[in-house]
Amino acid sequence: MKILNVLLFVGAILLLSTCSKPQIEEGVSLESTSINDPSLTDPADYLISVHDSSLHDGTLLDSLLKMPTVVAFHGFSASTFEWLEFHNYCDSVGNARVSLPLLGGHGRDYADFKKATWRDWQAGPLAEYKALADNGYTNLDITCSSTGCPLVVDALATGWFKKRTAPRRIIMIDPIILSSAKDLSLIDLVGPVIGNVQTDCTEIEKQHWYCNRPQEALNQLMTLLDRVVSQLQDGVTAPAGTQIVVYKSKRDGSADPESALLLYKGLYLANHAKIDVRIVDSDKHVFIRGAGRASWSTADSILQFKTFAEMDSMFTH
Amino acid sequence: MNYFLRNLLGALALLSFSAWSSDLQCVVGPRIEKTWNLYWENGAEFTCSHPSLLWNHLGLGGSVTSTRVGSAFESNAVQQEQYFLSASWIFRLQKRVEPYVALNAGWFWLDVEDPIFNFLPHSAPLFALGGGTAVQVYGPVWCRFGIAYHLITGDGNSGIGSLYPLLLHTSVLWKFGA
Repeated sequence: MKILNVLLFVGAILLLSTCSKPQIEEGVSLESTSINDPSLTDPADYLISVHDSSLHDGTLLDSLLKMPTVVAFHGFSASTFEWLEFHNYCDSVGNARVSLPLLGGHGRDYADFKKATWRDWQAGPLAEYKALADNGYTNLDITCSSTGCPLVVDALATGWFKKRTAPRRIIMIDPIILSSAKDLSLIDLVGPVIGNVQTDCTEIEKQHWYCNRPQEALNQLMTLLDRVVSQLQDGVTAPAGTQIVVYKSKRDGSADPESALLLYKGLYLANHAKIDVRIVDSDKHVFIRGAGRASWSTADSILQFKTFAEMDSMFTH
Repeated sequence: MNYFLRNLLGALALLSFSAWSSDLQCVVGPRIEKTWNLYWENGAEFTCSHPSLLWNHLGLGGSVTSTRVGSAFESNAVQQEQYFLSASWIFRLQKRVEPYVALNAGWFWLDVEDPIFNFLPHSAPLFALGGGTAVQVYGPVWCRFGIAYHLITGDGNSGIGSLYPLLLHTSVLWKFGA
């Protein structure tokens, strides 16, 4: 009788698992096998290290080495698209250049996303930063959004920047340290039953985000957040000369606004001064991205460009 | 007359309480609590039962826990407190292992520490389902192991963001009374 109960229980779990299979629209969504992030096919258009390595004019390269150069870390399940508007803004202003690396395991199909670890995610943009630092770029900066930010905090906590040119500024947009969805904290217990979590995406978002989130990837996200909570608890100090600014939406359905409090308490400048936290009146997660959203107001646009201008000013001074 | 009556009633009440309390059974002691995938919050708890409360099966008690004596002790973790009142149903009375189920209600406080974060919710009600077991270790010394699930959590807008759903706790308790 006991064996029968166990079999029924296992059967019920398997049934629940099969109920949550991802629905992938082939040829439409990023997670299908036929669509990749464009940075994979045209890396020179997205990665400054690749773009500049093709230039052989030493004079030009020397001027580029001194120009403010920003490495943008996008968020979980996103792609280079998340920072594209800021990239285009900086291109039009001409003060700073923005490199758009992909987080490892992102921008490809669902299977690649499913098997990648948070260390794989981190390796993508850090490889771009390292390539730029190794090539002698002296005015390096970092900007990050959402999950890109705990990846940067982990790199700071583990001393990754000690071996190379430290970023002059790190600007965080809606960093996630605590998820707004508290059920995520249970993913390591109930993940195999859930299997896959489907989120609402617009037609444009389907082309640039994973709208299906496998429990394996969510588990990696929770592992990263738990690790960074501990690191902030112990205290994380930025390298000498690095300034840190955090922008946080007051109302955010993905990154709990209390995340900014954890960063404010646990992340210090090299001289033990507090970081600069700026709370903004927005209900958008990663409020600097407007393209492809289901709703976007004039006030959202004003805030987006005001923030772009502030960031550009910080990177160029 | 009134004075005499008042004193008489007072004495009767005291005697009644004295007789009632002689059957009262309580456990009290330190509590260690871990919010799943977040902080350690430590403090103290107590539970009392009485034959008049469903023949000792109903336990009434409470707990106070804080990260100040847990994860936030000499660290940068967020300072927060949980105050619980609980009603529990105790099974297998007078045995060395006493399982229980509990309903917990209370209040949660967050110390935001800096005016920048005054926009965050500072407090929230708590309501949690729980269960576990108490094990007699030696004489009056008991250990209790439990789990609780918060039915109210927060997202940083409508509730406190560091109020996570699952809580594991253990306590070392001293039993006294009848």
